[in-house]
Amino acid sequence: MAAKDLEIDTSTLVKKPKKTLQHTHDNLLRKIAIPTIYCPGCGIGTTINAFLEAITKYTIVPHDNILVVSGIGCSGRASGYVNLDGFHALHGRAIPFASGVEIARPKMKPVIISGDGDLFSIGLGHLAHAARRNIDMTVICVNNAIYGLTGGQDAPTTPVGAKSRTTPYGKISFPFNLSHVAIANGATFCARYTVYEFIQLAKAIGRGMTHQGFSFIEVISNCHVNFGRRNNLGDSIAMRKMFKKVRVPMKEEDIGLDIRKTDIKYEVGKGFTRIPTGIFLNERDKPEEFSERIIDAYEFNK
Amino acid sequence: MSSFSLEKKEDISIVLCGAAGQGIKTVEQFLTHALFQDGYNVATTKEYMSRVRGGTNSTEIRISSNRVSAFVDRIDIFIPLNKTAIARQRKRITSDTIIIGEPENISNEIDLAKHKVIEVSWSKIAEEIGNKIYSNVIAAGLIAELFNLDKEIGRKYLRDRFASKGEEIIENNFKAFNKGCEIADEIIKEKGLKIAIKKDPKNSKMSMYDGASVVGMGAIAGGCNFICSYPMSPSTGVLIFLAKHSDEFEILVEQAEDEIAAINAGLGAAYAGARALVSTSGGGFALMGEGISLSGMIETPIVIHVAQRPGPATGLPTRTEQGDLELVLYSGHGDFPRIILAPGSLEDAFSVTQKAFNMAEKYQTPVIILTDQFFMDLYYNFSPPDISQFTIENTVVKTTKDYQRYKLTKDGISPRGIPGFGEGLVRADSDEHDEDGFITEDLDGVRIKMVEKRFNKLAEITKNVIPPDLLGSKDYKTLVIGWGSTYTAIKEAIETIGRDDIGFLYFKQVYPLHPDTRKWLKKAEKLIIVENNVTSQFGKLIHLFADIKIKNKILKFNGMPFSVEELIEKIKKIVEA
Ligand SMILES: Cc1ncc(C[n+]2csc(CCOP(=O)(O)OP(=O)(O)O)c2C)c(N)n1
Ligand code: SF4
Ligand SMILES: [Mg+2]
Repeated sequence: MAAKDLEIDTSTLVKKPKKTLQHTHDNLLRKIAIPTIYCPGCGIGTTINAFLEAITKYTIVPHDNILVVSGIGCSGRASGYVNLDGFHALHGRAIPFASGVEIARPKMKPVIISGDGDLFSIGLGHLAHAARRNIDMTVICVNNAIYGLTGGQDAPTTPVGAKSRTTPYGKISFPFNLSHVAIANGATFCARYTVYEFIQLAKAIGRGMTHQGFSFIEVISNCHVNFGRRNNLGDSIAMRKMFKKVRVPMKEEDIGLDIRKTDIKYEVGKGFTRIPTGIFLNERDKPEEFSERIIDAYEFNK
Repeated sequence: MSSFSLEKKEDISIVLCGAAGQGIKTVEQFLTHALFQDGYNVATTKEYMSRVRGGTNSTEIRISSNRVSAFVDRIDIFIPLNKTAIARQRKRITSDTIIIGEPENISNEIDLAKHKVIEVSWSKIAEEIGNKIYSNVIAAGLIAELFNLDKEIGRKYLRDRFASKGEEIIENNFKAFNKGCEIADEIIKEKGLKIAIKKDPKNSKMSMYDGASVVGMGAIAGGCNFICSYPMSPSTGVLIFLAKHSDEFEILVEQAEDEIAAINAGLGAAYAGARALVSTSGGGFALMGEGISLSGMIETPIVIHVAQRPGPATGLPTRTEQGDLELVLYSGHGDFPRIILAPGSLEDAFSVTQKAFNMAEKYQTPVIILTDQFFMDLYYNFSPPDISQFTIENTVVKTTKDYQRYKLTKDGISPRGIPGFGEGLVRADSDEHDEDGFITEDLDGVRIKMVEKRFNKLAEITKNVIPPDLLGSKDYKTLVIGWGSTYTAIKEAIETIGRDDIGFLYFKQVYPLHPDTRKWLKKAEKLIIVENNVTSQFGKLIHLFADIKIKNKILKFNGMPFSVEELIEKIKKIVEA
């Protein structure tokens, strides 16, 4: 599985792609936009690929109903690379835009693919409220612990002590546990996987999309260029190997109400030392998602 | 084919072009540092794509006998570092341009018979040394040798730069550097490629900095001790500069969760007595609008640096424009005074930013410094100003028991107390308030007095406007008007045109306008305004506040700065019409 994951990822990275080399999801990519802007080995490629795998194999949502919305950031470029309806929003505002779409056209399934900074720094208020409303959307958050596109500044996920361009003496404040934040605000489906766990990630995205209501998928990704290099974590492969070593598979039953059990641990000099992964929450009996409720409340013609 | 010699040139423009992360930076940093160390005048400008790796970016390095720092279209030496480099810069490459690079980056792109091409397979040579990555140092060595760089300077630079990588890597870099020099010697011999740029004797008293660092230094000189900002290209360099030097200068730095938090935290810090800076770009500034208005209402000083990029919305994140003047002029609901500054040279960036803090402190109102991407990345050698000329004016008073934060005074400026310093209480309110800072709905009494009080400050501000600089002819018939970052290009264009009837009025404070603006403009027979935006926003401001409508507009809004050549052509056309 791991080998396959890496193999798929590198297909977009080879400098001179041979004509015969085809991407597994060639028909779903906007070829005119390829090669992507991503640094060779970046985990965002793996994330997009897992999303394409999910909509091909692991969800019942028809492609015509999917709308990919992303914010600004390296992760935010995702909407531009897939051959689906899409919108590249303002920084931090992908979720309220997608909420508007979902409420106006409930049959659409917005999938938000964006960064940890976009969704949890400038966009945190919107994420919290969309989760609270249980809007029927899937949020895929690429957590690379840094602001990639703008050159490596502090993110709300940057671990204590880690260096970034705006924390040159080491990060002082504490990072968010993103999954914790999503669940605390009312997300009804939540999963976290590293880019190392490709198939589990694809399946979780698929399940999240099939789920009716607000689903949140956190992807622990490698920004080896702007985070890894500055913190001596090595290249893309080294970071993925680290993910492999420190991931701790967890089940909903293991966590129960103590969502703190999913905290990520990091030590300066060593890197990540513990990354719990798995499906953390799958609330099937939660009251319906927002559009249903609004239609019922106003007795609109369905 | 004509000669390769550049001997007659007083300034040489070298353009490096290639993908991000591919070595442009290595070559650029080597050349700028080493050639400057060796005594040359060096200036660089940059344009790049919004991505971390790949794409096609370029850096222009100008080495000149007399100091110049503007962007020129002309390319004397072109170094394509990837296959798309020539295509991307084709419009600027002429039969005079000397192209030096890998055959595979050149031959498919250009007619070798019609251009001055020197093919060097540096990646192959680099592989012989041990690794392809050394090709950048070969290129750097080659160009350095054309300028007859003191080899010790080159070696010292490489030693410092690669110190952490170990002896072997340093040795290999030396080899690569020497190889580059050898190739250059052959080129000089075979092609007669000679360069005779003079060194600048004043150089040893100068330093090299970019716009972002100088704004940061000006802030430190202005007493800035607090920065809370949210990264946004192209403004982030200032935040990074202050974060890097926070230890040394005791500056409190915390990255905000967004721009709304940034300005409110800045205002909070200023209310508590800090000298606060917020750095952002247009989109972020738009989010700050309510905070700007709050600064106006609670009369709390704040300096906001806005590095402009083309909008609307996310626009072109890494490109340049002067499109946010009206945004900063009108941002914030309600009426309140403000100050807008726009430095165009690095020297001015220092002094204007320094002053901004004193102005904010004195008038207790928002002060906005407008720069842009071109200016943030503009990098050249200059003499750092004499720090002793600058004072940090502190207006904070120790409060007494009967202290009133918004005491009515003749000039509208109330003594500024801060909480915890003195016996009084310091109350502020975002609602309309009385002299004590308490909420009020006394419409015909307090409200009117407070609006007038806040506005009286504008008259004070107007008395102390930084005057524009008049360059070129004092007896001008034509007056060219510019503001902010267009300064270097307009100045060089006017000097090159060399007519004795053209003046250039360069504004570094754009609001309020200097009271003599109308007088200066009236003196000219012809007015030309030059702006990096589509609607001539400064022209509109002049029309509104100086009641003069400028007909001749030279406007550019493709995301690139003005080049000296296009300004020469356009100004001449208007002057000669
Ligand atoms: C209002 C506003 N502020 C700031 C920015 C600059 N900006 C663009 S992307 C970004 C952060 C990206 O980080 P993240 O969301 O983690 O994405 P990554 O690049 O790491 O995938 C910032 C601060 C902006 N575009 N708009
Ligand atoms: S900067 Fe980081 S997040 Fe952005 S493409 Fe490169 S590796 Fe990926
Ligand atoms: Mg990120």
